[in-house]
Amino acid sequence: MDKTLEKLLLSFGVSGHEQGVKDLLIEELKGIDCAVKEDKMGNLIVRAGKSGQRIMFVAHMDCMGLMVTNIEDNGLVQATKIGEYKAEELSHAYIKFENGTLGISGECSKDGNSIYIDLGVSSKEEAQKKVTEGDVATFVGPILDLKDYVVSPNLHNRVSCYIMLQLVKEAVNSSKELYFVFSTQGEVSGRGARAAAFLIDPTYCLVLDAASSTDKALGDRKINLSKGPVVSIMDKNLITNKEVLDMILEASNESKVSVQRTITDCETEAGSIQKEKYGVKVGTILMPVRYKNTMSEMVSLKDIEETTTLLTKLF
Amino acid sequence: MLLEELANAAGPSSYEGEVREIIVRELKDYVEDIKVDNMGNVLVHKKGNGPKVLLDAHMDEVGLIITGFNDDGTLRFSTLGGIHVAVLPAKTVLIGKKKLTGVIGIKPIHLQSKEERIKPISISNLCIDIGAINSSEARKYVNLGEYAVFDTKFEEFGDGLVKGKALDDRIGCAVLIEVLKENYNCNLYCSFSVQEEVGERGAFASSYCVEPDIGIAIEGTICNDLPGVSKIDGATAIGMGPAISLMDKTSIYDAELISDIEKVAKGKYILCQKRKSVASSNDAWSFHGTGEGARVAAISIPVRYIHSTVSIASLADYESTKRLIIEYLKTLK
Repeated sequence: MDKTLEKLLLSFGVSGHEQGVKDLLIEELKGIDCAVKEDKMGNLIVRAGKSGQRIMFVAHMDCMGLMVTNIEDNGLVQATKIGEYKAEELSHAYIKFENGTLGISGECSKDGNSIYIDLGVSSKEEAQKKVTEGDVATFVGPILDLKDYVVSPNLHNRVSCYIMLQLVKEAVNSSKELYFVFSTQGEVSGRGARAAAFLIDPTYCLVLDAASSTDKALGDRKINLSKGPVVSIMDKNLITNKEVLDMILEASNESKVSVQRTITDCETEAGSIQKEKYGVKVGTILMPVRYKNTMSEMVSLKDIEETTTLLTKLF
Repeated sequence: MLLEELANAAGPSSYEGEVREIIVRELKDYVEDIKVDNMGNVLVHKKGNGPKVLLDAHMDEVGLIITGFNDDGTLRFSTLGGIHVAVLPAKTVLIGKKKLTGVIGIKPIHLQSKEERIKPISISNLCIDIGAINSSEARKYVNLGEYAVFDTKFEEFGDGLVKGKALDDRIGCAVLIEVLKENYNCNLYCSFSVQEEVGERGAFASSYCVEPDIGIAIEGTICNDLPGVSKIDGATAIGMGPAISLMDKTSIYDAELISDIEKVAKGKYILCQKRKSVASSNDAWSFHGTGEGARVAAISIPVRYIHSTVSIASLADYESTKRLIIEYLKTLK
């Protein structure tokens, strides 16, 4: 199990509260020939390569989580979802607050928008010693090393951040002007990425995110693990720019990494990035993830390696 | 009272003229740099050396727009902003600049069929009656596209409470006007924005123009402190001071800003609360949603029965909110 990937999976970073994972990334970037800065939205912007054609890669570093909105008299803590996931699929999971407090996600509210967190206390006063309204929590759990596969909570989008760290190392020799943005608030409509695109104003942009594989027991087997990265032709908010699509397919040929094309009704940051400034040519590269948005997300190590190889061809 | 004049003024989304006039008139003795932009926002700048702060309150209220003429002389209408259709029947409205009186009518219950009685009503079941006998007569008095506002007069009542229409967000506008009467070190911009109720449209333009480091929306917000309603659904409570937002549909508020604001409240003995609901949206969306983005906060005054013909707020909450914002701005060097 790669140490860096493991550290990424264990670091704290829920939408709007990304300092934990950001600190880790800054640490990992030390010693690599690149310029690192933070912008107004808290994005970590890494610049590498020379000057010329500006290409921006972006992967959101936040995970989904929960925010405390109310503490009940019996000590149960009502928390609202951060991110679009089904509350029932993440109930009875282990959660950890930014301040270190541990608990479990218990029952869901009727409308499915919040979960009652059980801290193992029996009164409001005891609960208030541990958490307060506005505190955020992430889902935590064991990381399973299944040789060719990794299983863990928060694999999406930390695995894309991991890929991007590898890309920064390779980018030093590029003749292009490369930007690698570890963006904030990706789980909530990609707010950080939009601002970074405005600031950088790239010629091309590639969004690194995740796609649900459909190779589960009852799936249609159209998107599979270990069959290469998923390239979306069209999603809810984006018809991928033809030039960017051609770039990706050419890189796929050159690196001999096959890609899985898809048309979905999901959305990524790419949708809002394309409308920034005078328009941005943007496409998406998505890691296939089995059991996405659960405690046991699963990715293929082959996909991680091949996606990295493919993307270096764009330098 | 300034709040009375603001609440009584007619200014539904995109028709904010009356409100804009009052605001410009009130501010001209206190600020030099004041302009109206392409969208109709009133943009104010008080120069300073500290961080660039944008405070925002929206001028528009939820209202109605005339969309057609029925043969019988009544008017068809639609809403400007979110109004629950159940609050509309049997209410008086004032149409257009001339403030023509209209009554929102619905088929009386004893004429409704069994199915009609249990089916929820829609706007198409309603009409505005101006007393015209046919559509030609109606067209003499009203034009297509004219606006209408609720005919509610502002009044103080109860124990330090006020009732009126449009407290969301005239109460925010009143606070902002008073905040602008003081002086600060920070580089202060204020936007009295248009069209918030139909998608925060005005604020996108002012945010793009100002490029703030910190953006704070001053709103009137939901307050359902009623029996049988949970704390979360209740969101805020009257008399418990300004409500500081944690998160909503379009923003995750900056934890450090929230902490700084709460520290000021504690230090100055200003009662404040957290907005417990994560529903709805406000102009803060535009601060982080344009240009390079910004750190954002929202401070709101609890308004009971918001987005209806008459809402309620507390004067103590109004005063506390004003004080909190003034004291917070003073800490920005």
